[in-house]
Amino acid sequence: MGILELHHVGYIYSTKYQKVEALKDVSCVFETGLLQAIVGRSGSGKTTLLSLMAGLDLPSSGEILCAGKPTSSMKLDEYRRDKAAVIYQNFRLLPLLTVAENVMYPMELKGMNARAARKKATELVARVGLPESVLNRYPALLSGGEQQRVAIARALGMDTKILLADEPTGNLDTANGENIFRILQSLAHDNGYCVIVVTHDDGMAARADRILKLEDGRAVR
Amino acid sequence: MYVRNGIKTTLRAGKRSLLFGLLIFLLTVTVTLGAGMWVYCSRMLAQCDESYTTIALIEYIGSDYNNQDAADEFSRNAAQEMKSVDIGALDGVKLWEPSENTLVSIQDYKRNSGELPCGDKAVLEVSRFVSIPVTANGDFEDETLLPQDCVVYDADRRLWIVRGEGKEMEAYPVFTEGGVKALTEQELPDRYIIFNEITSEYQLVSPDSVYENRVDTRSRQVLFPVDGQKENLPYYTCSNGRYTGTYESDSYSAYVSRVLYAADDIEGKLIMLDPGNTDFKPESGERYLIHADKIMGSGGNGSYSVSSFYDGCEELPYRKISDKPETEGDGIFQEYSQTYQIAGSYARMEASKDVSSLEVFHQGTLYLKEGRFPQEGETSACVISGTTALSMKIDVGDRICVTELVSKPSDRFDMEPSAQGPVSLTVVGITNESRDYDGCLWTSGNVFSSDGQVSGGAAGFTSPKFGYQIGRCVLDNESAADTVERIENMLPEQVHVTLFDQGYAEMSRPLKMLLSIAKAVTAAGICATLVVLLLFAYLFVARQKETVSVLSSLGTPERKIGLWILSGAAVVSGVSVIFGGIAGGMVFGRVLDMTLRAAKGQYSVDRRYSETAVGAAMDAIDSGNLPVRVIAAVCMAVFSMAMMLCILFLQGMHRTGSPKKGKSRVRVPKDQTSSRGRGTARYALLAAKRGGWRSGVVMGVALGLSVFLGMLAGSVQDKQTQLDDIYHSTMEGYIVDTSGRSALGVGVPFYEVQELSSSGLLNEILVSTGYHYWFEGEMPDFGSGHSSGDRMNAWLRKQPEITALNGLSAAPEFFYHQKWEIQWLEGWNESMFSDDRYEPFLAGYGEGMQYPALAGRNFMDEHHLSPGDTVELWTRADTAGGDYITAPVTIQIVGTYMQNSSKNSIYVPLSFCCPPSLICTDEAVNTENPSWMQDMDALERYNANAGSTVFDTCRFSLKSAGVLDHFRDYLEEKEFSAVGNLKRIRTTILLKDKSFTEVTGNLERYMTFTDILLPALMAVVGLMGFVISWLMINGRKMEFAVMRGIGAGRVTVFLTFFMEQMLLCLGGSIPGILLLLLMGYGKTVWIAAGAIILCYLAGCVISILTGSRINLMELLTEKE
Repeated sequence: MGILELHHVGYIYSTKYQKVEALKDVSCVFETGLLQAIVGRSGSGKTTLLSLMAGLDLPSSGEILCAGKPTSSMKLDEYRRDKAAVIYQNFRLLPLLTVAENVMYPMELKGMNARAARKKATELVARVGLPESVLNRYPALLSGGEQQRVAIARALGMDTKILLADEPTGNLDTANGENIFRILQSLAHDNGYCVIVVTHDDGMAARADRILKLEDGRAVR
Repeated sequence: MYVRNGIKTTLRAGKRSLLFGLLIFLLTVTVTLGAGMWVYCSRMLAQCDESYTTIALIEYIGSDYNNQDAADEFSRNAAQEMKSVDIGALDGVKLWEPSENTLVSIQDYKRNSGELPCGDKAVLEVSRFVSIPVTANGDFEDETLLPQDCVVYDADRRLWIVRGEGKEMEAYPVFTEGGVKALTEQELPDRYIIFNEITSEYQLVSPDSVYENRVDTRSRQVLFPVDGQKENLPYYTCSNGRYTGTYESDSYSAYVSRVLYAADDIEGKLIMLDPGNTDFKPESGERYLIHADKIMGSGGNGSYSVSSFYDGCEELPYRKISDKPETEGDGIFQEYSQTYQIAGSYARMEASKDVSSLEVFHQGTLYLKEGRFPQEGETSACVISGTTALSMKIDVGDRICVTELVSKPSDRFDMEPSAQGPVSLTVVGITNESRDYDGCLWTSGNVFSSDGQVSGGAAGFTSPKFGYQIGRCVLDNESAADTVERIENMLPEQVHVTLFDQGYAEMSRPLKMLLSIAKAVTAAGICATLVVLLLFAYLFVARQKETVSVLSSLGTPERKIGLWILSGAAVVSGVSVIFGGIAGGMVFGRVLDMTLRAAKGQYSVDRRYSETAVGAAMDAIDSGNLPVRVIAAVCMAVFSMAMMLCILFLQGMHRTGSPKKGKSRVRVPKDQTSSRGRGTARYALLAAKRGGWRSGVVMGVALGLSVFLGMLAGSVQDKQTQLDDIYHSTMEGYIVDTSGRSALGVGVPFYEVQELSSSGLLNEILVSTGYHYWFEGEMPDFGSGHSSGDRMNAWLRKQPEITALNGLSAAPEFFYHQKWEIQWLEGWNESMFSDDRYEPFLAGYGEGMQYPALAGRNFMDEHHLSPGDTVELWTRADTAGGDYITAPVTIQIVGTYMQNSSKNSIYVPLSFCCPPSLICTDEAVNTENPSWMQDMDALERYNANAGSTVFDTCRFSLKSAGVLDHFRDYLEEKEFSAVGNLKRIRTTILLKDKSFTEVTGNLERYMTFTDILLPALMAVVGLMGFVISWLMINGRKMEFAVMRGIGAGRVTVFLTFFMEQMLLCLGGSIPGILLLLLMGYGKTVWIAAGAIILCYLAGCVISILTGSRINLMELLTEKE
């Protein structure tokens, strides 16, 4: 049994003028300890699927089970806080908080005190390969690769089993992209995370443990 | 093609074009109205400034104030002192000139009206004298027709006192003076009467007292004492059983054979002639030259009384000329007749550099009917009174021959022609006809001087100064009130300024208010237009990057692209502007009318009985529609601005096409990672601290608004307190003459003062009334002729007064001069004036009563008196019965004062003539009746006599200014007169409400303004709070999304942002509040700050709730 199961998941974007069926009857299972990639062309529904798995919304049809429990029965805020952490292509760090504070934020949301959160944040930053000197810096002063590592550290700080990454290397050069990939791979293989990566990068996809290919909102492989 | 496509593209963005078109239309209307109002008000104010002239009269308020011919040394001294005061150097003074006037004689002019100083004088040649017995009170044979009480002088030379209906007659032996002498003292009876056949005087002699009595020629009655009481008994002679109210008169009828001088045409007519106080006894058949006074009120051709040329003149005022040689002239008679002739045809000349602004023309009393005013420096020209021009048959352009008359300092009308001789003047203007101004002419300078200058020139007129007007300023209308205030600070004691602005202030104030509003509306409209046009240009030009890029990629030249983009913007803005201009022009009239009425309403004050109603006001000027050129200018300006901004954005857009060099700077906060605090507050605080300019803006706005609104609220409270204080303060009022200029000698009857007091709205009424006094033996013998009463009255009028008053500020000498220098005897002070213990002398004729008195130091010196001395004076008072009482009064000098006039006034308590409590019928003020009122006889005498008490001055104070309107209503209901508005009661009331009206008007306008402004400002603050917080939060939607994406709940996110904004708002407001508290503002600051915080936070709540309604899917997965 996978930690995240998708059963006939469909999703429709409704606008004023039209409805777009972004996902159609997608079913699959994601497991812990594996790095799994979702691939497909632009507009195939990859990011939509990742967002649903991240708990940003509920599927229009079908259901997503997390550890056997449907997300529709959970509070999405709690699901996002406790179950699934997301790493965005554009990092989505809070600009007014330092690196350490960004990493500490989800921990403190969970009730951890600031001192403990700070200690853990320092460990996590080190874990993603950043020097301690960045802790007091603001995200705007970091490079793209560094920001992405901070985003990973923040996701790790959330202490979830599911780690979702939306084109995490999309805004990075090859070397940084490779570094990030390795971190994610290590998190899956060495730490037992269920790492799900949306990517355009065929090379990265090829190195994933599993691949889910989407075409026009349908899972084809 | 480019234009067509540009327009089409723009119009197809229907809503946006419509919205901006509408906005530009509305703003054009607003700016058109604002600018139009601005132009209108400026033009009207300029017109007012040109049409209205503001003058300030500077006058000395002397004891004979308003008498333009008074010879007052104090006034002259004040005028002399004023020469060192350089009023002309003050800003706002266009012209300052000392008052310059003189008397002149105009060839062929004979005065018919106005004051005739020698109108009662006559120099005549008289003859054919016949002695005249005067008959009065009936002529009858029936004894029973005699009045109940009378005196009968019978053929046996006995005097009978007829008493009661029973006609009991009590005979007294009568002796002629010769007869008395014929008897020895032992032979005289106990009671007898001495009769002086020449003077018709009687003297009753009794063992106890001697009473002097005399025949009153006016009433034909005998004042006769019986049993120690004065009685007023008709006097009859009895001859052959016939009773005639007759006494032997020493008057004559005389034929006037020649008139050397007389105001009336009496040559060849019979007149009645009285020897007056001379021993003139004409011999029958002789001719005499006489110098005489005309007795006023006599009928027929008039009665004359032979009078001395002047007091102490040794020359007899009559001369027998029957046997005078032809060669001998008329001497002093001729001399005096010439003097009188000159004085009788005097004219008044007033000189000013600006004749049109002299009070008489300024106040509209006179106006130029024909011709023009003489210009400055035009020394041989004059304007002449219409009445004089008519009587002399003079037209504009004619010449008149004028000689200056030089007056003696003591008497204006004691004058002689100047040695300089006559000058010829051209009449350049003629006024309307007015008998009051007969014999008046106005010049632009001293026509008798070689340089023609008056004010500040080398020579003034030759005569000394008379009257009380010291000078006159022509002021800048705008700053007149301030200038007058500055002038007042420069003036010597008792010199006052009166401002006449022809209603300029009333007319201009609403216009100025409208002008300010118009400027504000125009400025706000321009700012708003600029903002809207910026947005318009941004959206219609800068946001067309894509179009520009496409057109550019297709190889379209830059100019054509500009044409494409600008044409659409030009159509939208152009059409809106044109329609806006037309609409603005169409509604301008109505808006102007409405706002003008509202502005006038704001400045309208109740001017009933107000001192602000003194002075004539010109008719209001009104005009005009909005000039087309203003509309055109506004339309052009708005359209040009729109196009300019569009072009600027277009140019900017072309420039941004080229790649940028260099790196943009990133602002980095300097803080370290924080571990302090917990939860949402911690992140709110961090965000607030690190918010950079955003936090700065919020705090700055909060600070600015809290200070602004706090100050505003504080000042509102302050103004409210001021207003309350003002309404609780007292206000003064005077009874004045009909012109409102003088409060002295107003002659207000006792019962009218009571009527004022009955209003119950007065705090205090101070009155004064004067009685002429003299020392025993000072009064001359006026004889018993026709004129004796008139001559005595004339003499009395020259005597100083003993003034009864209940407060020193009611004294004529101190009325306008509230600083007095008094030295009191120990135990005495000003409260004695309102002490009602003293019995009025009208009740007890002053017998046995001693009144405390305040006397002038000059008086004390003249009579060698010291404080504490007791003096007996004689005084005379009119009684209710139309008669008068002459009685001695005893005063004790308990204080002395430094005199401000040459009059030796003595001040005594009001109870000298009436109990002070009687004029204050208000229960709160009324005291118990004084002890003398328990004496029924005294009370009866008082009631019989006191009704005629007339007060010379009356000033009062209201209980509080808050009752002002009620008092006005009361005065109106009782029909008291106001200045320029005579009503049933001729007594004119003037309320000193100018500063009150101005201050309360300003405060109330301020309060009204803030009453509207504060809620509006609160709404604006709320809106600003919303807009600012929305702007602050809208840019941080991603932060919302990230927090939510990480798992923060809605409440957590809301609280984080709300607390951040609250911290910023408090951080800005609290220093503002503290600052204001340090500056001394009160509690209202907290209310204002609380209101700001609430409004701002309400805006925050709305904006956070609105901002938190985000689509996480869209935001977080958005790719750049």
